[in-house]
Amino acid sequence: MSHKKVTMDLKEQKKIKRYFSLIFFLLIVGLAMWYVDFNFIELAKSIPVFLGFIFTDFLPPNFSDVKKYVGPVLDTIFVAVIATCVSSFLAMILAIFMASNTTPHPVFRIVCRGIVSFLRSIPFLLWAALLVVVFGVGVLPGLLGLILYGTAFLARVYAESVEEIGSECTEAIEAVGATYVHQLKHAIIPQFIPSFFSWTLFMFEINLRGSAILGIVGAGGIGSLIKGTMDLFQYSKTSTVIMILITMILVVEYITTRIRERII
Amino acid sequence: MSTILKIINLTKRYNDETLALEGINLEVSRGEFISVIGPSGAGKSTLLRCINRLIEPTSGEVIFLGQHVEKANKAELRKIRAQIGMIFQHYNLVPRLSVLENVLHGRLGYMSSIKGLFSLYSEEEKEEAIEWLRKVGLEKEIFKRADELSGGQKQRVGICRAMMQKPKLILADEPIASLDPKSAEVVMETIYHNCIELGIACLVNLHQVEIAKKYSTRIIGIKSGKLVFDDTPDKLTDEMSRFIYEGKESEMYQHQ
Repeated sequence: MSHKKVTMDLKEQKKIKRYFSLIFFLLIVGLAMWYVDFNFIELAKSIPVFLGFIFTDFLPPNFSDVKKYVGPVLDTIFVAVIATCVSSFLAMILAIFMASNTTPHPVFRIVCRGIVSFLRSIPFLLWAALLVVVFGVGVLPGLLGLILYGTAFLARVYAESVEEIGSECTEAIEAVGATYVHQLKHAIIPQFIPSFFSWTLFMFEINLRGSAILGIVGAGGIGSLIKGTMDLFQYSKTSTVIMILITMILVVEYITTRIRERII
Repeated sequence: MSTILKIINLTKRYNDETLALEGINLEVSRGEFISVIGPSGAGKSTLLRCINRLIEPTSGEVIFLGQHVEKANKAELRKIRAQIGMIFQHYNLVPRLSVLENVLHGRLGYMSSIKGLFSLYSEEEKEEAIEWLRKVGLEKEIFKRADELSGGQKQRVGICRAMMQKPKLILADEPIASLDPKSAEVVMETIYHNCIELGIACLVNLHQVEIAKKYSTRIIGIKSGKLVFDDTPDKLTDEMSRFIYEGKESEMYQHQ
């Protein structure tokens, strides 16, 4: 009898908790909407204006300057390539220091984790904006921004993948009298390769998108074309650039998917 | 007979509380094939791993070929480990590497960091690895990836890896516990005959008493961390076996 009563009470409590959470959630959303003046009616009213803008100003795309776009497009692609290569190399070293099963000493682990958390907490666009102040307008600050953020991101996911490698292979290598370096080369690296490629290719896609908008803070590439044409109200040219950007991203996604299928 | 391994008063305590091994004394001579029997959790694995310090012993002495293992520094420990082959229950191969590479890992203990880093195995070592694989009947799988093999085949690769070390002692931790009876027999035969032929001392953890009796020159019984039996197989009476496995009798026959 009393047992039944306890379960009833528990159910009741759960119910109250659930209602309470729901009300709390709705309150937060309501407060946020009130604070930023978000209004569904405004939103609905603005749709025709937006469509009008797209069809009269953006379309049809103006291809007259296409030749001038080649340079910045190549900048974007190459920045993504370099950023991915450099950050995957740096991240690899950090990850080995960070992963609990490969760290040479727990102090390395803590220090590297600290560095990585700090780098990750600052978005790459902010890095680029800050670095533009130091290095001036151009490709370099954008590249550095992507490298800083990418290294931190990859270091974290690499370290997690390394930690997932079972202790069985390393135990056997240790038992034959192998050194730390041998263990990394013969047990950790071979098992880590699939996730390494998977994450690095993913990073390349992120870097490509990132490098495309870096120009908005003055860090070169396609973004600078978008910003430049929009500042001059040449929206039909902007749409051409955006079309190039979309094509580029789709092509790269297709290629990376194919590579992933072949490797893994 | 020359002594290969001497264990004096070996004790292992986990977290300052659980006593896994308590005052183990043991002497292993050249050419001996010793089965270590006992129920799961008795401390068999801990004993084997304390010998090559995959687990650090809490107190006691482990003397391998006259050298104190428990006092060895990093470089000395490497040299000791290089001469002790180990075979594992779960084979512990590197799944994405080839069978040949896994066997060659047995040589890493004798190589510098740089040589090992670039896999600079000598031609003789490679030939020897292939020779061992041929001997255990895996000549067709040399270039296959380790994860493509069956359990019994994987364990034979594990044996080849251990043999490549030219060991004086082999530690086999439940080598057949994950295998079907037929593969188990092949694996036990392979370990036994090669150890006897080459005069390698061997310590095998087993939980099946019958198999221990069939293959050993000597049997050691471990019960809750203590050595309770140490004699020739014919002296192991049913009564003694029951005492060792008290409360876990079913494990004596069971093939996990």
